[in-house]
Amino acid sequence: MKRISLPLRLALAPALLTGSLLVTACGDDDSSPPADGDSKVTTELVVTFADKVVVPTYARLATRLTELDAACAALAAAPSADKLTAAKAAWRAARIPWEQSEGFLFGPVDSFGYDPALDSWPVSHTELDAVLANNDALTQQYVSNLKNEQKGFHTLEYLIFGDGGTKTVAQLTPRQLEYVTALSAELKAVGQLLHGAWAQAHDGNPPFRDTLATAGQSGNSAYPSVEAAAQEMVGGITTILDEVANGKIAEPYDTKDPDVVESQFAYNSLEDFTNNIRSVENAYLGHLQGEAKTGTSLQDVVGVDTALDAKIRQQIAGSISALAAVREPFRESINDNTERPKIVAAQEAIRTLHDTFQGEVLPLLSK
Amino acid sequence: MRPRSCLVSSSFLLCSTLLLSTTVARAQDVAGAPVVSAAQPSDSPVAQAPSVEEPATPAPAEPAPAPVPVTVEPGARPTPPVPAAVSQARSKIDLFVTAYGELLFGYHNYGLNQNRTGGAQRDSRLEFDTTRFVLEMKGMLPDYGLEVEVEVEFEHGGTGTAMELEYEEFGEFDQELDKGGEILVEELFISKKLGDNAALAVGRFYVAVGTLSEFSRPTDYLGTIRDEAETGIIPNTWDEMGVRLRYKFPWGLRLTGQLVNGLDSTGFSSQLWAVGGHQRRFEVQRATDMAVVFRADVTHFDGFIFGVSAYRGDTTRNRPKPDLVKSCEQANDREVAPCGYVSAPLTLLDVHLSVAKGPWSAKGMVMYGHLKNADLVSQRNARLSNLLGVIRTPVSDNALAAWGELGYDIASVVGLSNSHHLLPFVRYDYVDTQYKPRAELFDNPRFRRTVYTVGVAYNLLNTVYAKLDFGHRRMGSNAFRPENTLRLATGFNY
Repeated sequence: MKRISLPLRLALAPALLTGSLLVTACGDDDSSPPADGDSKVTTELVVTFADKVVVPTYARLATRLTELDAACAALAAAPSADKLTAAKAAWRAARIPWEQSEGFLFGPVDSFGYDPALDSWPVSHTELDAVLANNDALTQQYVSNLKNEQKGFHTLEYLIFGDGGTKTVAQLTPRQLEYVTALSAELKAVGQLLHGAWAQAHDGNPPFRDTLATAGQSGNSAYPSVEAAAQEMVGGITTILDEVANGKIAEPYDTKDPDVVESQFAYNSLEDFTNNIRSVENAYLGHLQGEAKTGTSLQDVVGVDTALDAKIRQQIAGSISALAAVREPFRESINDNTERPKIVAAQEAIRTLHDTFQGEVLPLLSK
Repeated sequence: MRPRSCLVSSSFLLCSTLLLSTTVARAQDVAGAPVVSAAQPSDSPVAQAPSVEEPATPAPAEPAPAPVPVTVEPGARPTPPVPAAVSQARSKIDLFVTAYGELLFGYHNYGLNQNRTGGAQRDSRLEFDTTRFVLEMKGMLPDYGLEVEVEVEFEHGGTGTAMELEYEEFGEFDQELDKGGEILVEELFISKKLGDNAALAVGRFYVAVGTLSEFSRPTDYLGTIRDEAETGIIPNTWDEMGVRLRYKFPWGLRLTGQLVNGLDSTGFSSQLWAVGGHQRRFEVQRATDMAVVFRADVTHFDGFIFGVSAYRGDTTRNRPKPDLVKSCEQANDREVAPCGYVSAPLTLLDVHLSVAKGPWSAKGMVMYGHLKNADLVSQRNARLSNLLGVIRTPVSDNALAAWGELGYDIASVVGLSNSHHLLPFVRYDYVDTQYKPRAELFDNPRFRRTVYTVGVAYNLLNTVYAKLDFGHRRMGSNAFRPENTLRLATGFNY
């Protein structure tokens, strides 16, 4: 290559220097993606996610389901209005970590079918009534063998809340209480299995926490790169946002069918949806609500306080406030003309958040 | 080739096997290889080609146009010169090609989600299906009593999927391809005639239980679809690999014995019992657990075939992973299943009947199935990875299926020639995939289904057909909405 003469180089030096400074300045600009070698998509990102978000959420779920089982057992042993109230409260409390786990419905919860076993709806009244009418012993094993629509959170919800949460202790038959205790025992067992699958070795496989945390390391073909694991994280986020906007809200709204509303008996639907958005928030920030941020999170990948970060946080808050504007019971609001625009607005807010993760966050996770 | 309806003397139930007759034209391509050219249809009826694997088969009653074999004489190749000894060793090869195709147009008055409270919701929907196109090829060396048969089925006009178990990926399952439809090799066997009455086959063939192993062509049965009873508990046209021996007594008793690979119990489920146990998810069939099949049919009485069949085979060691094992202390961890497997043998018993007498056409079957240790299979299946693509619902200890159909040919009554067959018919299907289950399994009435069907079946020379029927399905409880279906099927069989 022909070299530029020395005088010319000297003459151009100020311009070159200025240019390089400008380039450096541009590199530090908030709106630019991190340069190669400075990627925030690191092992720390997935480790923080696993250890500060996923495992604590499932640990909390297992604890709450154990408490729910204890409340149901106490109710069945000596039914009283207070114990029924306690069981209802325990059910609502257990819903929080479950719905806050739906931003990461991959791994064991998906692979081993724990999601449908815990949370299928609508319940199957026809078969539920048939179970109540027969003389079979309602053991945990019996309940475990039932169809997903005959067990899990929502069958228990129907039995202890009744329609609109109006169930009284006097309405609970011995047979229903037998079903309640078997259901809660099964829920507790599944909660422990799910937490265990993330936290302990299982069936010859390592804890799924380790599978995620060792993303990109030799021998980890589930996640051949850290980017693959990070993409799974964002995939979980976009999946639940899509499900809330285009499934949980849209299906009953479009069909005007209250029967397909989640948590319709306890009037807990909007609370569920809100916790789904909290799940996204936790995954994005890298910690649970009320806890301090440690380690790298998706927020760091985006860049703390960048325009995109501000937009995401504003859209999360906007989705939650849009849901809060809709009146519970959601199963009635879907057919209420004054509520319908608010439902549409909530859907739109959640779809917008979805599109932001899909279109602006996911591309940051490629090498 | 599996036993075709050539065994039945009714003209309607007969499989005409081949209507396209071809003559042989030998040619040579550029490389000098022999080429079979397109052939002209034969005008005159020709006697049915003898079947090597169906010794003493009764001759068909109707002189339907029958095949002329495509004959290839490899020994006649002029170049390169064939040594005399080899040339003499080569015999005439008879080639037969048959095929059938089915198209289905269905109207359903119920929604797709049958899990709703009270059953599927009321709906009004149409479904069109290129149900299947099946090509059968048979090559025979009559001088040696040898026959090779291949049957390939294209279902729903698409391609298939295959899975691989990747132990390098800590035992994860990999799906190679995903698209609707399937292409399946359903038969591929070599058969050797042993004397006048026996035939031995090795390869892939139909498992000789129930009625569909004998009567699977659309002109074999009257309804627009195969019976819902049988296909509700065992694989639909169930083929496996192994050996088969057939013996036909001169006075009309036909015996079949088979030794084949067993089923895979990971696929068993609440709604479809053993159907999903058919090993189709992997490229290689596991045969550590084998099954024995015995079938006896009486064909002595003109127009009647009746008989029994039995199947028994374990299903545990054919699972993709050795995961249904007994536990014990001091196990040797250098051995797969050091304490042995949990035995889960499947037993099937059936009685069946086929009538083709004058204008009457009827079929019937009752099948009972039992799965030992169904509770342990269910418990293990519940923990399978969803990447395996199985349903993971509990399987019942017992299942029961029964069906029957009765039709009467009114072609002559309405003034049609004997080339036409027009049979109004009625059909009854009953299937309970949770028949008398163990105490800890809810006997779900949703899985007890009865279908009443009325319809009419028409065919021309057993070749082109059209059927129309109306089916009314009821579940085991009146709490579930009945389901109605109107179907039109058409296609060909030659």
